Amino acid sequence: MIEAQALTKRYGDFTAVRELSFSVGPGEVLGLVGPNGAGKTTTLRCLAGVIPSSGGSVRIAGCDLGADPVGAKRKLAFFPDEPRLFDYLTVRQHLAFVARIYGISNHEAVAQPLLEELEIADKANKLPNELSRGMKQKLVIACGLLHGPQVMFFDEPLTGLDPLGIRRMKDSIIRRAKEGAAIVLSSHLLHLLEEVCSHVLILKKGEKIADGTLAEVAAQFSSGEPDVSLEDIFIRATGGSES
Amino acid sequence: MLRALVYLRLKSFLNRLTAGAARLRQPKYFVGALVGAAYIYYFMVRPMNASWRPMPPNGMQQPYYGRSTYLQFQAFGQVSTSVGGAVVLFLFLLRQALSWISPPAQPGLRFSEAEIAFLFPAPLTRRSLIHFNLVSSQLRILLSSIILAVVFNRWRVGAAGAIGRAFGWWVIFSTISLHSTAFGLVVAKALARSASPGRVRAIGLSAVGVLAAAAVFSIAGHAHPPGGGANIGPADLPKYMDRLVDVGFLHWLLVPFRWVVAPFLAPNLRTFALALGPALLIPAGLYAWIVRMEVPFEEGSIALSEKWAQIRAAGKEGQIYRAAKADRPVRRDPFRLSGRGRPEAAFFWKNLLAIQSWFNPRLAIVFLGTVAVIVASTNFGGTKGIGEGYAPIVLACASIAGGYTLFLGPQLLRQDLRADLPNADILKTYPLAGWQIVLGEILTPAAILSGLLWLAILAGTWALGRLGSDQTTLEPVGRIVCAAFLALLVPPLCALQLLIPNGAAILFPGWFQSMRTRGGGIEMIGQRLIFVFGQLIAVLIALLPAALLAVGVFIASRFWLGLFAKDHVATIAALFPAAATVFAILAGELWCGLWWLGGRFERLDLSREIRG
Repeated sequence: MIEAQALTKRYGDFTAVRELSFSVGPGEVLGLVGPNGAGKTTTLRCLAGVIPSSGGSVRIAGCDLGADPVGAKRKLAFFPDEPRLFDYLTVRQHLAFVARIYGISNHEAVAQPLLEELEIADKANKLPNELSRGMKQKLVIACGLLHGPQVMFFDEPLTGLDPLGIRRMKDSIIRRAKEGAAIVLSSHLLHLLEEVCSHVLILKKGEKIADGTLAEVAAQFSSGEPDVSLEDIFIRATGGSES
Repeated sequence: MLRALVYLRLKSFLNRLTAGAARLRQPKYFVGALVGAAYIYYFMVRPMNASWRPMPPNGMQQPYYGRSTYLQFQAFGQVSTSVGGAVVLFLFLLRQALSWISPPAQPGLRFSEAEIAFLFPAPLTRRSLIHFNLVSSQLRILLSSIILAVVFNRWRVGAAGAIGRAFGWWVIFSTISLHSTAFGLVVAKALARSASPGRVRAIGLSAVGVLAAAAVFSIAGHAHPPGGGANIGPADLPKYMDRLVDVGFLHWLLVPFRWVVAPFLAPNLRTFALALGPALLIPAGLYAWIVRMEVPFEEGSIALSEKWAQIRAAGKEGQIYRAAKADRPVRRDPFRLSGRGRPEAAFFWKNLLAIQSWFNPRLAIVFLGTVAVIVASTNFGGTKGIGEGYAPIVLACASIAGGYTLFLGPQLLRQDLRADLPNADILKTYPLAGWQIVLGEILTPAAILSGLLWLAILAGTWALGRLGSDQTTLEPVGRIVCAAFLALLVPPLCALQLLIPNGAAILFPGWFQSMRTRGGGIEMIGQRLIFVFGQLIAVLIALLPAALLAVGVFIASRFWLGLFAKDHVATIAALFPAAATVFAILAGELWCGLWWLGGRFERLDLSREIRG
C-alpha cells in the first residue's frame, strides 16, 4: 500500500531525509519515531504529497505519487499535527466542502456516523473558534476519513486530546487498520505507539536506524534482554541524544 | 524589579534589532528595506527637512507652504494656537469621555501572555506589577512621542523645538495612559465590590451627562457669534471658539486639560518652562492615585492578554479583523453544495462563505435604496433637468468606482489563495490538479469584482444616455454595444488581475508570508510597495498585446466592413471582432497563467520558503 524507495528531501545543503526506503502493507500500522528534528514530519509530508521530495519514489496503493499525484491523493489522508481549519466554515460546512473536493455524492450519510463516532455530532453547526483543540482535531480526522482512504498519515495525532480522546483515537486507528488501511503515524508517546503499531521505523538525522516489526526492532537493540520497551529501544537506537 | 524590567526590555529590543539586521542578509528583506528606506526618505524625511526652518523672532508659527502632498496642512498652519489647543483639548476630552461611557466588562492592565506566565506567579506585590506595567507603557510612549515630534514637525506648533514638542506629546500620552490605567483599576474595584458593568456604565454616563449639561449651560449666554453671525469668516472662527471654551464652568473644567496640552502648544520657551510644572502635576497625581489603589486586576489582565494574543495570532494569518470579532455568527450556505460536480465550485462556495459578512442584506438594502432614490428622482422628478443634473455625477461616480474596483479591488479582496496560504498543506493533499485549486480560489473575488464592475458599467451607460446629445456623440446602439463588450471583457480581466497577487503568493511565499507574519518594519513597507507596483506593471504587460491586436483588428474590420455598410454600422460591427480578439487573448493569457501557476503550486514547498 505504501512503498517508499530511496526517499530523499534536501533543503539546500541540508538533507532532512536521506535515502529512506520502507513499505507498509494493508492492515499494518507503522510508527515513525525519532528525536526532535529527525525528519519525521518532513517524511510524512513527502509521503502525503504535501511537499515534493528531492529524490526517490513513493507509491500509494499502487499509484506513483510523482507521476500521478491526483490519483495517489484520492487514496490517502494526511492528518497534520496542528488542526488547520477554515475559520468561517462550520463543522458541517467543512465536511460538505471536502465532500465536493473528493466527489462524494452521499456525504451526509457518510459524515453523520463519523461525527457520531468522533463525538462532535452536536457541534455540527459550530465554527472552529467555538471548538476546543481536541474537537478541532476530531473535525480534521472526520474530514480526512470522509472519502474512506486506504492510506493514512498521522502526524502526532494524539496531541491535544484528553485521555478518553486518546483511547478513542487509538481504537479508531486500530480499527481502520483491521479494515485494511495502511497507516503511518509519528508520535513521541512511545508507550502508546507500542499499543497501536505493528511496525516501527526509527529515524535519526533523516536516516533510518531501524525498521521492522516491534519484535524485530526489539531483538536488534535488546542485546538478548527480554521485555524491552519501545522507550528503551528508542534510547538505545538514538544514543539518547538529538545529535 | 525595575532592573529586571529594564533587562527584559533592553534585551528584547537589542535582539529584535539583531534579528532585523540578520534578516537583511536575505535578498527579500534587503530589497524591501532599500525600497522602504527610499520611500521614507522621499515622502517623509525630505519634506520634513524643508519645513524645519528656524522660528520667527516673535515665536508665532508661520503658514507652512510645503509640497503639494501636504498642502492640506496649510490651513492648520494658518489657524491660531488657541484653536489648535481647543481642537486638541476637544479630542482629549472626547477620548476621556468615551472611556467613562463604555467601561470594559472585565477591566485589567495590559500584560503579554509571557509576562503573565512569569510575573503573576512570581513573589511580587500588586504594586510592583502596576509599576512594571506603567514603566512598560512609558517606553512605548517615549518612542511614540519622538516619532510624532519628528513626523509632524511640519505642523510647527509651539516654539520649544522638536524636543519640546516630543515632551508635549509625552505629557499628553502619559496622562491618557495613566488615566486609562486608573480608570481600569477603579472599574475593577467597583466590579470587585459587586457592582455590575451596567451600573458602572450608568454612573459613567451620568457623570459625563452632568458635566456636559453644566458646560452647555455655562456657555449658553456666550454662544452668540461675533457680529451676530452675519459676516463671520474663517478669521473670526478661532476667536469665537476660543471664547466659547473660556467661560464659566467650562473654563474651570478645562483647566487640567489646558495644563496638560500647554507645553505642547507653548508659543515660546519661557511659556514652555512655566507650563512644565502644572502639566506634570496631572500625570503625577494620577500616578499617586494608581499606586495607592489595592485592586485585584489579575483576572481582567489575563482575559485582556488572551484577547490580544488571539488578535496577534489572527494578524499573523492576515485575519486580524476576524479575530477582533470573536462572536462572529455562523453564516448560511450561499448555495447548496452537492458532492457531485466541478470541485472548483467548492472553493467558490467556501470563499463566498468567508466574504458573506461584507455583503449582508442590510448593505444590499441601503445600496439598492440609494440607487432607487436616485433613479426615482431622475425619472419621475417631473422635469428633464433633474435627470440631466444627476447624470454627470452618476457617470463620475461610476467611472471612479469602476477604476478603483478594477485596479485596487484585487489587492483588497483577498479571499483567495492569499488567505488560504497557511492551509496550503491541506489544499495540497486534495486530489486536484494545481490549476484547479488556483482557479477555484480566484473564482469568488473574480465574481464579486465582475459584479461590481458590471454595476459600474450599467450606471455609466445609463448616465451617458441621460446626458444631452451635445455632451455625448455615442448613439444608443453604439453605447449599448460598447457596454456589452466591456461587460464581456470584465470577468477575464478581473481573473487575470487576481492571478498576479495570487501568483506572487505562490512564487514568493517567503515574501508573502513574511509580509503577513513578521510585523512591521521598514523592509515590510518596501515589500508591500514592490508587490503593488509589481501587480500594476504585470497587468499592463498582460493587456498590451490584447490592446495592440484589438486596435489592428478593429481598423482592418472597419475598413473591410466600410466597403459594404454605412460608416456608423461598420464602426459598430467592427467592434465585434475587436472585442472577440481581446476576449480571446485575455482568456488565453488567463488559461496559460492558471496552468503555469497550478504547476508552481503543485511544486510549492512552503517549508523550504519559510525556512529561508
